Amino acid sequence: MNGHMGKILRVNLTSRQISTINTADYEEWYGGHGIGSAIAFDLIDDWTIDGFDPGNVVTFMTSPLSGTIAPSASGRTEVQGIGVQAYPIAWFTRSNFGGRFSGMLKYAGWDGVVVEGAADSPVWVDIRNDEVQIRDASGLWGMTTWEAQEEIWRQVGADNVKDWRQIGSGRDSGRTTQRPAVVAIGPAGENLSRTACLLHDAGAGGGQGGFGAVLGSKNLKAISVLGTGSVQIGDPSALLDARIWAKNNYAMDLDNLTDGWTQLDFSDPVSAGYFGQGPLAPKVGRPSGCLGCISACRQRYETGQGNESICVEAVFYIGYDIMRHGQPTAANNIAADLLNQYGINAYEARTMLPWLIGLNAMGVLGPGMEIDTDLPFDQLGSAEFADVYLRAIAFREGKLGDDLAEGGARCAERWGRLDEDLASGLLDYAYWGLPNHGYDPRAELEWGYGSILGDRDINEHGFNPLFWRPTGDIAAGIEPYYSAELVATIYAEKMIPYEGDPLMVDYSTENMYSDHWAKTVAWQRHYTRFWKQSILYCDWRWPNFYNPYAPDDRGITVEGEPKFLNAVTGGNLSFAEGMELGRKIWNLDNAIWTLQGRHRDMVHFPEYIYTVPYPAGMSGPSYYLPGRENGNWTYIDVAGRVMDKAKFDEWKTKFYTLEGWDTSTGWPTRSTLEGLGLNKVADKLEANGKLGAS
Amino acid sequence: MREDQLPEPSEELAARLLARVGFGNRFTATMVHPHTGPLAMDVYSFQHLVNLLNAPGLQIDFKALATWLDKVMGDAELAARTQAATEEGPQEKARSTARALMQERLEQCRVMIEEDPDLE
Repeated sequence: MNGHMGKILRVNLTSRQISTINTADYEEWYGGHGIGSAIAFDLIDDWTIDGFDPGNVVTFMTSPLSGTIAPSASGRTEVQGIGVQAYPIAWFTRSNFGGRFSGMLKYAGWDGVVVEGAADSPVWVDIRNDEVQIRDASGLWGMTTWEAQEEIWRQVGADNVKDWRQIGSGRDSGRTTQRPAVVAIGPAGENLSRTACLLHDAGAGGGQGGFGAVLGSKNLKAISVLGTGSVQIGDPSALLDARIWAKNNYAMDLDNLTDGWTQLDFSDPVSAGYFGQGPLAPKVGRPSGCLGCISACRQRYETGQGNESICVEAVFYIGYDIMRHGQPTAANNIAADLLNQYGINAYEARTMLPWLIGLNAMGVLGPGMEIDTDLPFDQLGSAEFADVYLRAIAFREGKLGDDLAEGGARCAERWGRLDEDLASGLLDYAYWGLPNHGYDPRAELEWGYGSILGDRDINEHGFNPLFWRPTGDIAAGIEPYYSAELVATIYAEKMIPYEGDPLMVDYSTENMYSDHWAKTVAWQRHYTRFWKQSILYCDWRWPNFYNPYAPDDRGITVEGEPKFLNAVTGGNLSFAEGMELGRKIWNLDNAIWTLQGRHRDMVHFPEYIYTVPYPAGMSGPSYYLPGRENGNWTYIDVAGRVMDKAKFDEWKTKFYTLEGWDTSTGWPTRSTLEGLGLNKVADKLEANGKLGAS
Repeated sequence: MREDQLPEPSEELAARLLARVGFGNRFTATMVHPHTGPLAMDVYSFQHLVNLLNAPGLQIDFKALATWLDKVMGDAELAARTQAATEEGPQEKARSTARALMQERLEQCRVMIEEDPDLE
């Protein structure tokens, strides 16, 4: 297939053997998550092993679009394996990071890297085109993620960015001025903190799943890749035409801006002034982006602090910084840098902190208290506090650090507080012992349902404009730019194969347990599994449902996704066929979770989601989403809502029925799996006594 | 003295406004960011809340704020002024108005009572 390089690197750290997998053997999955799940299914026999077990397999996958000019689809890398973060079972899960790693891997001739086994001493993997070495990392062990990358650059001879580097000995074997793209773990990963992330360049993190610790358990400090090749494009002319088509029809018109909330659209311009720390930074920055991105939402700053941080790591500490200093200061950016250097998941760091502060205020945690710690709460908001707090997690410093390194859920369990603090919501961990993203299940149904039916906080923002636009407009005292009925109509048009049902985005309490929402969740699970996580369109740019600069306000989604993919592959895959592949991947993943021990009875939110009203409306903004009131479309305020536990449980039956799964267990059935060509998956489930009843 | 200036707080009220509150008396605001969604921020002191009102993307329920100022902080005058000033208009304007009032009160307190050394 055009867009593929033809081979996947297979590294066995136990035997130190290097081999290859033919990409063609997995071509039916296209790339990314699909190939990762399929390879993991083939290579992992016992799915009850722990994520720290050497039998765990970690895949780093690219897509046909990686390293091409497809907009906001070129720079993402999909990571999969059995995680160590979720609770009580650390599911087979995924993470994903941006930057330039995936493109560089393609340029080196590889569609992915599969890591098996565990080394008996620290190593790093050095990829320079076809030449792959497992190298000694004893000198890197103990370094931060940044130090390790810089040291690898030096060892590869790439510490001076102006120099040309020759790869191989032949005259035409390749030259480049690029530095290797390195993904590394920090002290948190080395110390097996379940909060440990992967870090590439300054701020491209793969946060969820605890993959930093999984690599730490394998004694794998880093993977470095330097490539000088190129990607074969099926129809280069069509790809260029598609870029021009997208610009002409969907790009923001800077001379005719619609309103202030266009950041969430595909069409948005460089958004460095808004996202991350743009308005928060004490010094001026300039935009920076992932490979091939049209947005450049990262920034680099005059101060050198907070560079390339864009997501929650850029703001996890900002509130405390401002509470202490009255304005954003360098403390916030330093905290972001420390987080990245130690290699810690920003959401765990962010969500554990208010819990600790609350326990301190309750007289439970602090000097001489039940949970005895000298964490200096009087320094909260300073860079010094951030360092003490983050070091404790990364290095397992003291009893507190050792507990926090386990992540919030397991830490609370150690302290005997898990049930109590999940009942009150003080521990805001909304699904599978993982931090609540902020798009709360009681409000944003697709986020909550999708997370609890899957393996992690989904972190998929495609429906968030339904909240941001009306809530932002209303908060600003202006009429919502789009009517609720219009956005529901547009979303309904684009949710193929369930198109034509606007009630799929009716967020009213009366509708939230309906068959319509079963379809919405299925649509998003299938869409993201293929288009975002396998083809690797960036979550922050795709999908685009409505767009004020587009024809008839209709965004690029449905037409755009296959247009770029087909131009690269030279194929003719339709949007609907991609959705069906997403369904196939989603079914394979559910089969794996079933093998790990999932049953519908455990698919529930923690108690506070069912009992504590969603507090946004009481202590913050109203939370407007489209819905019907007395039969009429409007923006309804869902703040103050709880989820009904019994009704949610009944709703799962609707979802399982729609997916063709056993409604009593949630397990996939043979007929559904075989209908997707997953016969061997059905056989494996049956052999393990886990096949759902048809 | 300006006509609309807040009357001087008593020393007892000033001390109360500059003290920290316990867990049950905390005030919860919300910070919103496109990547994170709305995230709750628990605030344990009046000074911190005044500072936090400068935060980009902060959202406040002003009725809850007025109730907190009255019942927890014991400042009925400030609560009434804040409530009156924030009853109408968009969130951003209301926040700016509330911040100005609360900043004025904070400065009055600071003049009266030595500042909390923990705060910069």
